[in-house]
Amino acid sequence: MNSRFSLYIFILVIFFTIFFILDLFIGSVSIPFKEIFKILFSSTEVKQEYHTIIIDFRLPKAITAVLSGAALSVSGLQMQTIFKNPLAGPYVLGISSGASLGVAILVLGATSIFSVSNFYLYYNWSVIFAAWIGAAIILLLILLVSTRISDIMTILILGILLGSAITAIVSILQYFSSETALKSFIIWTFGSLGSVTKSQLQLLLPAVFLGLLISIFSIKILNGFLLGETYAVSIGMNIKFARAVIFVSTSILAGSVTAFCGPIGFVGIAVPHFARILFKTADHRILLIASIFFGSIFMIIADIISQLPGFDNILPINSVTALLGIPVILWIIIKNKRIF
Amino acid sequence: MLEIRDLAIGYKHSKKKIKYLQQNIYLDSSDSELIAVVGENGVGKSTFLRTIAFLQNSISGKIIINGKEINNFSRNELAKIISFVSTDLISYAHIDVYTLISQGRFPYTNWIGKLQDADVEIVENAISLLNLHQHKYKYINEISDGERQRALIARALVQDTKIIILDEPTAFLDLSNKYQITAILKRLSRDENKTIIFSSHDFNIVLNEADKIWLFNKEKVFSGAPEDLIINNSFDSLFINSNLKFSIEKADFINIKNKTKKIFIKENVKYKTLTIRALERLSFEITDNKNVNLRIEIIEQNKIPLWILNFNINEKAEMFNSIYMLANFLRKFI
Repeated sequence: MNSRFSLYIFILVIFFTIFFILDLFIGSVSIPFKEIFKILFSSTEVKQEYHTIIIDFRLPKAITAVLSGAALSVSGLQMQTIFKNPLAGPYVLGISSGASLGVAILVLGATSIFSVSNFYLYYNWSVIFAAWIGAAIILLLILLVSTRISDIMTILILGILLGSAITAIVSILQYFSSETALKSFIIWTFGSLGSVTKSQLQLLLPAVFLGLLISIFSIKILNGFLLGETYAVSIGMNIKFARAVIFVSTSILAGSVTAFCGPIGFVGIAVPHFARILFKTADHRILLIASIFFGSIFMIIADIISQLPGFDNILPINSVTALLGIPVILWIIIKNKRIF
Repeated sequence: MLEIRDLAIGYKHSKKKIKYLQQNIYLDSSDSELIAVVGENGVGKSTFLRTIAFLQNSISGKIIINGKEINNFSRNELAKIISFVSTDLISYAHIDVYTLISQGRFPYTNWIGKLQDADVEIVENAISLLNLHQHKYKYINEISDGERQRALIARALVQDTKIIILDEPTAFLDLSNKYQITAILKRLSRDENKTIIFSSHDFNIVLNEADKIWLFNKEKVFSGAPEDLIINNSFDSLFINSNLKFSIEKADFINIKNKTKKIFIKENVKYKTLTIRALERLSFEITDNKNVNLRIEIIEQNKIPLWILNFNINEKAEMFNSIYMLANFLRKFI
């Protein structure tokens, strides 16, 4: 098992490196590989134009892809295990709805009240904080509920209902908002990796690391949940505390990614299945590491596809991940790979 | 070891609305006892087991382990004293038997759950004790129900607790597996010095194997050796609304239908018991009185048994070459 694990991880690292560099290579301006390596690994002078494109645009975007892929996948893994549901994902708790409500209130509400030109709001810090606050409020609500309700399925249903209710509120806001405000909100819901700037990355990076750090401390908890909650309690687990740890971790991961990149679907649902199918294990020490790698690779590939080599336009990342992720989920359902 | 004092179990829906399943339970267990919890569905056996394993709150009363009340233990301390095998299905498919069993070491492992050499040795011991060697690396959906139950018992065993509680460990198993699992439980209670408390509906097995029975009926919980409960007719309370009764002579349950017709069977060493079984099924009462209308004589011709039935006043007789034919004919006298 250990040698197979090391081998697979080694292969994943190679794939990761290849796609990461490929992601830097692809874009509307073609930059030779040699120049990219020079920019990344040596201090030799290259064309300033190339340097700016790689360091200020493509590298932050590729790192954002890695961070969001890893974060959403780990978050999805946690949700699937805790809810014992193969179709659970990072957003089942209503995190993304909360984030979108934050953004909707800001973009749709504030613009219609103060008639601020939405140019300044467009993907700047206030959008990020609005989304973060929205996600955090949902997290607090879920935590509050989960200390009072012992049945995990009830929490799942509450999360879904909460999400739907918030979506309804967002729809009302959309209905009453101006056309331009509506458009910028819709664009936010498409998701985007490229909008994260270098300075924003300095906040996204520690946030995702914090979420991942907590998730590493949740590994034993996740393994303890494998046989169901009765067994988890009987082997000495404090269920409510354990849930809180996982919910906090998931919310930081999914909430931060959503705040910076907008909602990105299906990565979190599909990727943990890749990990399970390849490693054929239930041990979260392995599944977590595998999900981080698979998630990163998945998002880098999605980013490469979204740039449609040869075209100037960039496809919404949310659509690309959906089109990549849905066949996987479909395959799991049809093949009925009994994982849960 | 385990003392239960004035325990009330059930569900608290709200402060005022409480559904009691049992009240005033007083029970004791000592070391290395095999205790069977029996009773009809719905009398609170599972709730009771979950309550004493502290998986569910009691409504009132005390559960005391080694002189200390159960709610004064931390979850982790308790996990080193009581292990539990539930009826819950394990839905996660990618767990192999080894991983399943090593889950029992959870209360002892470090923050990331790594098994130390000592843990591995304990797991390996349990695997050989429950004879799971050849299934060690199989996934749990690839093994039979009996093997899975053994793996779950091994998991409880590596948890290294004085008390093991099992909720219907023999449900869904075939007869030979039922006996095998019960024998394993008995062996663990003797050789490994465990107090094992399990619920079961298999009265015959329980009566033969358990050191003590905790019998739940709707009003009360009885406790005693199986034989004690037979002598004081406690078992009958289980079947107030049915025709079943516990027979002290047979040490088994018998069906007491309204026995209207009496029948006499002439002594025959080889076939009499079986014939009686069939006749009792048809609600005949077997009598020693030769002067009844129905009389059966069993003879052997060329080592083949034949049943001769004398019936009616006119001394009519009929001969049958199987119990089935005899029973079919007798139906018209019922």
